[in-house]
Amino acid sequence: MPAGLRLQEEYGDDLQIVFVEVQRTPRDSMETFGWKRKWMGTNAMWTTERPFKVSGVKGIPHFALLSAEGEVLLSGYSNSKHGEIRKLVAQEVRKRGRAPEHLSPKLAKAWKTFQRGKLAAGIAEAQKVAAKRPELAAQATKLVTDFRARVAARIDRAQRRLAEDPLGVEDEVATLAKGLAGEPDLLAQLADLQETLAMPFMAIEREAAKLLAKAEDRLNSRGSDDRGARTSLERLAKKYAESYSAERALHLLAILPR
Amino acid sequence: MIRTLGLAVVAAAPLAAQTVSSGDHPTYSFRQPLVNGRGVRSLADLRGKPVLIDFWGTR
Repeated sequence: MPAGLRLQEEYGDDLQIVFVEVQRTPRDSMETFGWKRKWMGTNAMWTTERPFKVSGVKGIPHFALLSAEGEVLLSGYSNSKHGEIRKLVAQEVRKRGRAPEHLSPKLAKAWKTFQRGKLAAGIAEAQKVAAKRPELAAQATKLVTDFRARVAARIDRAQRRLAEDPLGVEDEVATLAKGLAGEPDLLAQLADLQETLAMPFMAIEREAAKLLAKAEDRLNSRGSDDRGARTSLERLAKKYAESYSAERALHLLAILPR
Repeated sequence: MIRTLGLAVVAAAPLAAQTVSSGDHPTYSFRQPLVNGRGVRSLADLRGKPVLIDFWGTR
């Protein structure tokens, strides 16, 4: 576990670690366990739902490393393959800006443009290839469809994150709006989210989220039984009683040791 | 109101977990939001960066 947490801290947003508790521990107990050990302060995600089983392993800890495209690259027992995991993660992170090998070099520019966040420009470049090169039209059209689906998925995810992470969503929406300039259809998909962010209740959510983040930082640095963090969570729950962060604060107060 | 936004989308999950090996592209929709999940509801939501799924236990 600590090795995985170190990787998450080292790579930040370039890597996602999902810890899956597989001993049927209740979700709240798993979370309490993590807070007590100061394991909850990274980008890592936590669940008690097993998304799949790994072939050839019976005990724990074990792992599966997925590529950016969702392919299983390596799996097995974590303790015996840590060096291989580190090496492959480094390779995958370096690959992120490169076009996939199956893609025609003529479409590589569109891919790179899209990956750099110039979403509308990447789509336009792929459309240009589709129009000018009949031999690549099918591949280019598929790429455009894929790009659009990726943007739609980001917007959907931002919508779902709105309650738990209003500050992160604000950044994501700004990034998407900038990258989609010149793509009216996709900008229209983003408009609902922008409208929600501008509503008065979102200002309350943002303030509550800031206080929650501070309290969680304190729990991570000083320990899950820190009295000051508890007091902050209690104040937050009272002051912003209708917010998502207040609900989360009450949850933390219930599961953390006194 | 805002509280319902984050919890509204819960996709149906397969009952039996698939078994995967190198080269497979596993799919899965989580029934419950992940802790610190930031909107992730499925493995597909994690595409775009490498993902390390770490199976562990608390006992």
